[in-house]
Order: sequence, then C-alpha cells, then structure tokens
Amino acid sequence: MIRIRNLYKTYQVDGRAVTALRDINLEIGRGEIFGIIGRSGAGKSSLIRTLNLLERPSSGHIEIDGQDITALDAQGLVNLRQQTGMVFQHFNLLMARTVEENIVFPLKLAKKPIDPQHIQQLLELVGLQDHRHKYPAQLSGGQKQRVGIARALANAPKLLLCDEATSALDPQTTQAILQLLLDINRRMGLTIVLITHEMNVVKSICDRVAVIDAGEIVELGPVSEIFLHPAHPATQSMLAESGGQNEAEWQAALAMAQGAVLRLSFTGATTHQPLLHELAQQWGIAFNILHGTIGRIKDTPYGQLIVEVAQANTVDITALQDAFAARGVRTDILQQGKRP
Amino acid sequence: MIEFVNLDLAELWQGTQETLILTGVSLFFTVLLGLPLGVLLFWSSSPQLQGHKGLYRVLSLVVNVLRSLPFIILLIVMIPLTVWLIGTSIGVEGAIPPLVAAAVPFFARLVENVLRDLDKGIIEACQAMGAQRWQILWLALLPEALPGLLAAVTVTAISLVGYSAMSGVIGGGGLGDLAVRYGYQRFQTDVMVVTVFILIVLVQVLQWAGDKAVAHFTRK
Repeated sequence: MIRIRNLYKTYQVDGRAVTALRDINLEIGRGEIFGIIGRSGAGKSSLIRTLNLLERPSSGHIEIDGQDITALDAQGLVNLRQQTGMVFQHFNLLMARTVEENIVFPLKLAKKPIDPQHIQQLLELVGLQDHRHKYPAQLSGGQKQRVGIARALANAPKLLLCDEATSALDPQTTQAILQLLLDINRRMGLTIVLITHEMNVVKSICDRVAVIDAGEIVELGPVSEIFLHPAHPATQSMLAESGGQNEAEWQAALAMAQGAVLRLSFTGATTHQPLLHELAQQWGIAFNILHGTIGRIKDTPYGQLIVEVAQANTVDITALQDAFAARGVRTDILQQGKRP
Repeated sequence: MIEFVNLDLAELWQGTQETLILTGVSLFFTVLLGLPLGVLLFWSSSPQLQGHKGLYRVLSLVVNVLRSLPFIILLIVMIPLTVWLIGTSIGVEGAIPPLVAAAVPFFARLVENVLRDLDKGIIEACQAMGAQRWQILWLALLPEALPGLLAAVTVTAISLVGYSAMSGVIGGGGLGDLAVRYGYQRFQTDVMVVTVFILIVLVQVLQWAGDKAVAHFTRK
C-alpha cells in the first residue's frame, strides 16, 4: 500500500542544514497496523507528515497505491488528503463547533453530501451518539480523541495516520482508544500508521514496528521480534523505560548464579505449556528461575524467562538449546556455567 | 456644590445622538475594512498558510504609520480626502472618515493578534483534511476566533467613543465636543460633569454588551 524509497528531509535552521530524515525505506501493507517508535526529535513526526505531504520530502519517493504522491498537483494533493485520515495528539478539534459539526467538517470541506445515517454510524462507532450536540470543551480527553477519530473516518479513508494519538491520555483511556483503533482496523480493513514514543502502544495493537533514531530507521520487524529481541541500543533503552525489560532487576541475580544462565523467549501456544517441568524431568536437571515476564503482544501471549541451569557442568547446553528450539522456544545464553 | 444652571437638555440630547451616530457608523466601516485587513495581515505573516512576507511588510508599515499619527493631526491631514469622499469635511459626516482611518489599523492589528492566538493545530488538521486556504480562514479560523473578534470590536467601539470627542475640532459634534466647548473653554462645570457622566454610562453599556456577546459565543 505504501512504499517509501530513499526518503530524505532536511531543514534550514539558522542557515545550517539539519537532516531530520535520512534514507528512509519502508513498505507498509494494506490492512496493517504499522508503528513508528522513537524519542522526541528522532524524526517520527516528520516521517508521518510526509505521508500526506504536510511536510514535503527533500528527496526520495513515496508511493501510495502505486502512485507517487510527491508528484501530485494541487487537486491531486487535495484528493490524497481527503482519502487519508489523521488523528492528532492534541485532538485539534474546532472548539466552536459541536461533536457532530466536527465530524461533518471534512465532508463540508470536500463539498460532499452529508448522509445523516453515515454520521449516526460514525457516532455509534466511536460511542458518542449521546454527545453529538455537545461542544469539545464539554468532553473528556478520551471523548475528544473519539471525535478526532470519527472526523478522520468521515471521508471513508483508506489510510489512517495517528500522530501520538494517545500521548495526552491516561493509561486506561489510552487502552480504550487503542482498542477502538484495532476494532476499526479489523472492521474496515483500514491501514493504520501510528507514531508513538510508548512501547506499550506498539505492543498493544501494532503488527510491525520501525524504530527511528536520529532520523534513521535502526530496526524494523514484527513487534514480537523487536520486543523480545531488541538489537539496537535505542530500542533497548526504550524497552527498559517501558518496563518491558528491566535488566537491572536480573543483572544482580545473574552475578550470583553459578550455573549456565539462559534467556528463554516463547510466544503463542508454547506460552501455555509446562515446558520447564517437562524438560527438567526428561533431562534430570533443575531450573532456577531468576526473572520472568509474561504478557501479551497484540493478541499473542508471550513469555520471557531467565533461568539458571543448576547442574551446568553435567549438561550439554547446546543440546538443551536444541531441545528448547524443537519446542518453539528461542534461547540466548547470557552466561556460561562457572566452574567451581 | 455644582449647580446645574447651564444645562440645555435639547443640546445634550443632540450631542448624545451625534456620539451614537459617530461611533456606530464609524464602527460599521471600521469592521468592514479592518476585518479583511486583519485577516490579510495574519495570512501574509503565516508560513503555515504559505503567506507573503513582502506583502506583510508593506501592510504592516502602512498600519504602523497610520497608528503613529496623533488623531488630531489625522483629522487635519484627512480634510482633502474627506471632501473628495463625501463632499464635506465638517460636521458629523466629515468626522467619520478620519475616525475610520484611525480605527481601521487599530482594529486590524487586534484581528491579526486574535487569529495568531488560535491553536496552530487547527490549521494543520484542516490541511490534513484537504482544506483550501480560504476554507481554513473562512470555515475554521474565523468561527473559532469569533469570541476574540467580538472582544476586539468592543475595545474598538470604546476607543471610537474617545476619539469622537476630539472631532469637535472640525465641528464633528458629539458629547466630547460639548464637554470641551462648554466645560473646558467656558468653565461650565455642570455641562462637563453631565456629558462626562453620559460618556461613562455609554462606555459601560458598550463594555457590558460586548462581554455578554463574547460570553454567548465562547464554547470553553
């Protein structure tokens, strides 16, 4: 659906050229929820704004449905933007207009006929049917964002861009809004591109994620892969902050451990199997659990355990790794067994 | 103790009417001309709306020059233009063009500031929806700015009441003129006190009505 090739964006700041985006290459599939995560100033905001040309790339190409949008004329740009919904961190609603008037606004701009049934459906979709005549100032943050989402969907877009859509909301409201986005994605098959600085947002709803740091994509892949095996320091530190991987917690335990220490990562059905118990019996060994996390990435349960293999001297660790692998568990050796 | 011996009720009534006409008619033309000028100032200075820096510099200079002139000078300088516009430079009619000329740049600056204070995110959201520039201004920014614009109209109306007092110099009439001619030049303190009192009431009423209107259209 979206194909970005060799995208650069440079700004002139006090006569100096500052590169905001450097050689971005991305492909985003139809119906996908694609996350772009990075710290503030990493360039994620510029990147999402190039997708509806709120910012013009300095060089490179962006194709949406096979059409190079950087080559569009004025009318083509208007059409593109009408087919692309956008949701903002601070909602950006018209305060002088009611909920309903805000939702109808994109249709008004496009001079399209307003079908009351369509508006009713949108209001019901976001759960605001009882608030249609209220003004935004009378709504809570979560409700305002629901208006923002309904407005973004009014023109029946194919693509929805979310610019830190949940960053101004509390954790419960964030989850509710994310579930709404997921619901919309599934019901309408809408492609969603979202930027965020919160790992939990990505973990909740994204299929794939790109990690952006200093204007470059440093890591890209399925969320479970990036989440369980972060390779780049930027990803690792963002994960640590979100509480996903707290190294300090188990580093201490690691220093005390005498045997080999393994990190086991499992996703999907294996999460629910009594693997450790089985293997311990089969191999006649004991596992000492040093640290563990069990959770959910989008719909997939996952677990990550750090275990010490107690009788490491007598166990062939490589063979043990193979045994885990055969059961669909990925292992990383964090420490070889210490000889007494 | 002041004795109200010099009061001529007919003259006071006429003065009040003249002030209302001067203020009302000037305000009408001020908004008519100042609102577009203010919008133009705002648009031309906005990079977000692909404004025009050169145009902004020119407009801004004109506005500053007009605002620098003391009103009393403007009254005199405007005489030929006023004659050309409406055929006379004296009386209530003659006072209106200079009042408008003084108030338009003032009001335009207020309009520019009101628009500038709006959340920039609104412009971005409109652009993301594919809005044209005129749609952003006309359908989004001006309705959003309505309370601020009404407050600007109120401030301008009250300034016009003040300026109209000076139009007595060219025979412009009004309450201010009465206060100056009788109270100041002839030491008829009673006339001055009463005219000033009426002016105070007028300003209070304008401010009250303006505040009401602002409150009525504020959605916060």
